[in-house]
Amino acid sequence: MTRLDEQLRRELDRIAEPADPARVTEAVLRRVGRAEAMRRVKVGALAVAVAVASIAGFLGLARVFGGRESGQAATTLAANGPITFAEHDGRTSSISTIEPDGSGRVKLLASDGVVTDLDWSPDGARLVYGRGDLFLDLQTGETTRLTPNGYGASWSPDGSRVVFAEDREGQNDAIVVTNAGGTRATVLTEASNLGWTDWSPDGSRILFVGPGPAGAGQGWDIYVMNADGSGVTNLTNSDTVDLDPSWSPDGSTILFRSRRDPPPGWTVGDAPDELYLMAPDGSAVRRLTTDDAHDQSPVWSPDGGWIAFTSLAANGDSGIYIMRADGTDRTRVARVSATALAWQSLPEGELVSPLPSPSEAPSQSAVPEPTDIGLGFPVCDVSSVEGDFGSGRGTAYIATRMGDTGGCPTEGGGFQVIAVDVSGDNIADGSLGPLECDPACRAFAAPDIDADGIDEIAVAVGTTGGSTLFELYAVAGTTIRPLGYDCTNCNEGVFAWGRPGGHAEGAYCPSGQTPGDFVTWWAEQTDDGNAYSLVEIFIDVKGIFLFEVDRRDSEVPFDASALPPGGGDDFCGAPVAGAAAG
Amino acid sequence: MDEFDLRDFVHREYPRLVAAVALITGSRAGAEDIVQEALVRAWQRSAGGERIDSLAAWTRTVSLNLARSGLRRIRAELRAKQLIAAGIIRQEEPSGVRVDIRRALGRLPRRQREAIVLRYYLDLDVAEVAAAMGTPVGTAKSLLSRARSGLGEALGERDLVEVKET
Repeated sequence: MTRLDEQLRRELDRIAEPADPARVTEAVLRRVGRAEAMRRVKVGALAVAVAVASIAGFLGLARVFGGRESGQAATTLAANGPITFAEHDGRTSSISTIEPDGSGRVKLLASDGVVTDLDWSPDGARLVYGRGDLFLDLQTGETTRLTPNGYGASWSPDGSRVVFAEDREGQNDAIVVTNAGGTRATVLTEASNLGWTDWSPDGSRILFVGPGPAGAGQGWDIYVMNADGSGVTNLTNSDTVDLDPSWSPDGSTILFRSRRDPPPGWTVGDAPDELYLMAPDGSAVRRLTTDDAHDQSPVWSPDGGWIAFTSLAANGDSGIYIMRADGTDRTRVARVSATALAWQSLPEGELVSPLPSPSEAPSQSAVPEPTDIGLGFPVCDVSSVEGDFGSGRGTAYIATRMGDTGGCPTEGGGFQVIAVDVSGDNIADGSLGPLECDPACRAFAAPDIDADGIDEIAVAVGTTGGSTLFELYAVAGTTIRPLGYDCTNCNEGVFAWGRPGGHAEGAYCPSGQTPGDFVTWWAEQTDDGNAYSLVEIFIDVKGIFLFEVDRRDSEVPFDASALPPGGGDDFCGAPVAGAAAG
Repeated sequence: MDEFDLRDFVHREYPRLVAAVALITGSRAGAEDIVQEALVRAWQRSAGGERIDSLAAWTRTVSLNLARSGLRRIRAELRAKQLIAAGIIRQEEPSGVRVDIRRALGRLPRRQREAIVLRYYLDLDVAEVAAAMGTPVGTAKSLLSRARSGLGEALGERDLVEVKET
């Protein structure tokens, strides 16, 4: 190795600043939730609200119990009650139940974010689930949050307490026990990388997952401790990965998953998860599954005779499976990729009416069909906005190119283009693309910010942290170009695109601010009709990007004169978001 | 991919990958955003049924792609700006030698900078550098060779004999 090689490594190591991994996992999972929420946002509003891991609502709770009143004779397997599972469709999570024979699938509730934990209270009346460990109380239909940073929760066998792992900023993780109301939390033990708890059937001990002998991040082992936190013992004590421990209902056996036996050519880290049994002291380990699929989230049937688990196979043959406790009679229950399982008999009875769920709202539009606006390829999701683009009024379009499979891509998919019709024949005369927008581009007529007598087009390209990011484009005849904005001669005029009414929108160039900055706003009449709820977004123009630098919420009298400048249709006209071209 | 894989990656790979992306992009906070975004996409793909055999390699490649995206960079910087304003991220002033090597790195063409960081900071071999960058091995070798020449000059190592990448 040359001195230069050595020096490069040394210098790069010296200037590099490795990141602190604390709380990153949680941050990523929260972003998964936000990303999914964003994908659902429809084109048509200036501000894109970002929902963060909020519970959407409850669905069909009464049906769960109605379904169990069918009067059918219960088999031995069916007497165990339904399997509860969480699934994640890439957008939202849902929690459902299904009978072990694959029948009677019923959706319990929808949830934003990824649900990684499920555990029913022993009486089947309450469910702890999801990140942050949320309680669903089936009697009241209410959901409460147990802890903001908890995961891997498990009920005590008497239903009075819950144990869970907690991510604590700047500190070790902790195994915490609390009463069912989420108060009076007690730390039982602390370490890095804790999770996956399970309370023993007799209430005396608690299983959990913690770091392997080589330390945090170097493998995971299964631990047991007394219910008061004493006597912490590593049961698996290996340099591999042992996770998801679960007591058998009689307390005689522990079920878990492990990557301890990687197939040839695999590393422990990438090896498929297989299911194993062991004695409560960690001895007598026995392998139950031997496939190349990831077998995860194993849970016992209430009678201890069966095991349910998820299996994710490379060939896509994934699903929820059951097998006998000796590993035989493996049967697929449902072809779904579940993220968590629970198996519990649930009580019968009437429940409160479920709350409406946004995820069940009627679809706002039919499946879109590609259309032709003269770009040489069919496009979807066409929206348009008018402005003065250099040769009188014209129309700018934002459209999504039709997918390769022939249909319109799902929202957020495909690439988008901006096009302009300045001849008035509803056929695009020029275009520019692809644009990078997430989840979809939205165009707004912008004022003549650079005072050259031609309107610009502002394109909302994405939303981050509740802020909307815009790009600014200029149109010169049939040419569209990103506008490198040089604000030396800024227009102080007023522009607008909404009429005062129950809803109004507008934009203005505020005096006293940095020239070129502008403000967009919208106002909604309040429920009592006496005021507007006003939102103003202060935008800073930097090159082709318009940064949201501030957002102010206020309430003003329900009077057009109380609104900011820009109300009316005196400049750009209203954006026709979602309207089909031509 | 499950939560274990995510935690495992975060503890094993995340700190150094973020540092590498920061060396390439020049934005430490933006690098965190980029790598986290790559992880979000990995999770979503996995949730959609796609199997990711090597999360480390997948995330590295996607992070590099995201780092090349002007929109992603701008958005990362916007987010970083918000975090800085909120006092969550501390801005540090580089000094001394750090400035010199940073400046030298910053003067390299983008792809040469990527190659150097992958090779000498993440310790990838040339084939892995090529795979991560989506280039033929020969291209990766060429990029590394040119980058080393540029950096060697900047670091006062111009008299050294280069060893051919194999």
